[in-house]
Amino acid sequence: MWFGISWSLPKSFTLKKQFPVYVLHFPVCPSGGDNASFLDTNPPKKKTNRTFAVRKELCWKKQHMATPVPVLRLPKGPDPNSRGFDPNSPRYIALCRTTVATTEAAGGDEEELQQEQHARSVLRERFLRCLLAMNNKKVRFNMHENVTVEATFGSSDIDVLNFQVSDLHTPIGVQKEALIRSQDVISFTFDA
Amino acid sequence: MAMRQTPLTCSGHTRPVVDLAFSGITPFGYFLISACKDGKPMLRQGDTGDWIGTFLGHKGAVWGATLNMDATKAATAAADFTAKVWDSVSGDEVLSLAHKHIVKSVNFTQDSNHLLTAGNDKLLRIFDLSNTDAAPQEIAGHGAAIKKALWCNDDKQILSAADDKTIRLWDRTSMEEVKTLTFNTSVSSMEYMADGEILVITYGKTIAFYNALSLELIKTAEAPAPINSASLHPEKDFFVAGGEDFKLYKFDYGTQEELESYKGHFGPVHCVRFSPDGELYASGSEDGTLRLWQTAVGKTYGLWKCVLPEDLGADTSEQMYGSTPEIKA
Repeated sequence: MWFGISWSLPKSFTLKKQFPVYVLHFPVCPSGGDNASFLDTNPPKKKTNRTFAVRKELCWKKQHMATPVPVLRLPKGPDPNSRGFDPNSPRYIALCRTTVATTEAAGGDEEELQQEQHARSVLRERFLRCLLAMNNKKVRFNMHENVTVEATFGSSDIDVLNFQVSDLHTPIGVQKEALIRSQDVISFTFDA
Repeated sequence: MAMRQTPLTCSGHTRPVVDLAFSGITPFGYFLISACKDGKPMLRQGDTGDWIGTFLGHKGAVWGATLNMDATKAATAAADFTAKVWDSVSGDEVLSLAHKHIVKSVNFTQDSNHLLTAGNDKLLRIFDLSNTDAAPQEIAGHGAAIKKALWCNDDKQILSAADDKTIRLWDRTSMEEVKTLTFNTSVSSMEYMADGEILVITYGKTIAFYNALSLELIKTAEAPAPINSASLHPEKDFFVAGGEDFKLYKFDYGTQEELESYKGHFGPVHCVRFSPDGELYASGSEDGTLRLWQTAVGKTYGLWKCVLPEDLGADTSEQMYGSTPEIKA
């Protein structure tokens, strides 16, 4: 059985709506009818076809004539290799505390604060001397995920964010020069 | 010539985005955090949608996320029964607060010293972030899982919305219930605006505005479809709502008349929030994307570029998405 399908706009259509709703009309077929009798009772109307084309064009125009707002680029997506929080971003450099804060000396405990400061300076001096002593020595780094790598230590940057090493032995080969992120390092050992 | 809204799509999440929060305006702009069922909340630059970092650590779906006013701290609530506090500059986890059930909502006080959490264990908890060893203060009273809990009235009171179809106002000092609002259906979202003490509540197809101090109804608006979230513009000119029919609706606050509707999402919209400057609003959806929408369509702001009348005749398709996306998942 052949169905003739025509489209029409519902009477409540307003221009305000972005997408006009078209209502599908299925003509009621005479029961038990065959093709010949259906065409006799419902001859195709040429005027309907032309109106349909005009309406289709109007609909398309309504959707596409309004210019979309141009965009400079898409928002940047996540980096698959890292969790982000770029340490070189201005916000990080301005706000990220690279030092450990002193304990609150709320009661005006000057002596305790002095002792703490002394201890801090001793530890700092030892650490710096350690870094000096490590220069050009073979160092073993214990890192996350049970990774241990050996390399010849070069130096550290001022905030101890990265270590510069040479001849880094990795599971996938020997890297002549490399930078190791200090936040990935759990501990390192060397023979003085 | 009418301008058609171009939403900026922020991809990256692999599961539905269930919560969004903006920070206040900081010297580095403002920021947006998104909570996602993939357990990896993300921090983004608020005006461009650029990804800044992902907070890694949760072992379950993250149901709630928030930033403090200056965007230095972030807090997330997850289905792994913990709420975590993060340093949002370095992305490191600062604190993990254990709960007895799924945590749904987190909210900082204005001084960022206290954190309010709420979840399926029907309790409100106040954690002192400067004294983390101390046990949290607990407020009981709700009969069902709490969906959202917010500080209000200059952090002196707490508003909570739960699945027991009530919204309750609590006094922080006395820990007692002050007022209750009962509804016929579960409240789907709640937003508090300190400036003007307005509470925006959505339930069913209704968006209702209440006075946050007295819990008196100010006005309501009806949307064509069930609404999951609504947000009021900082200057109270408009409000936007999104729901189950994937569309975003923009209404005029004064007349409650629907001004525009925008299609774009491929799933129900779970959360809508206006930015602190009101220039854009962000929506998070079941399709795993966030979209940023302009309040004033056609204005030059963030990544949107204003088009002058003389340029309109030229081929504008060249300007759109001129550079190919850098990252492909």
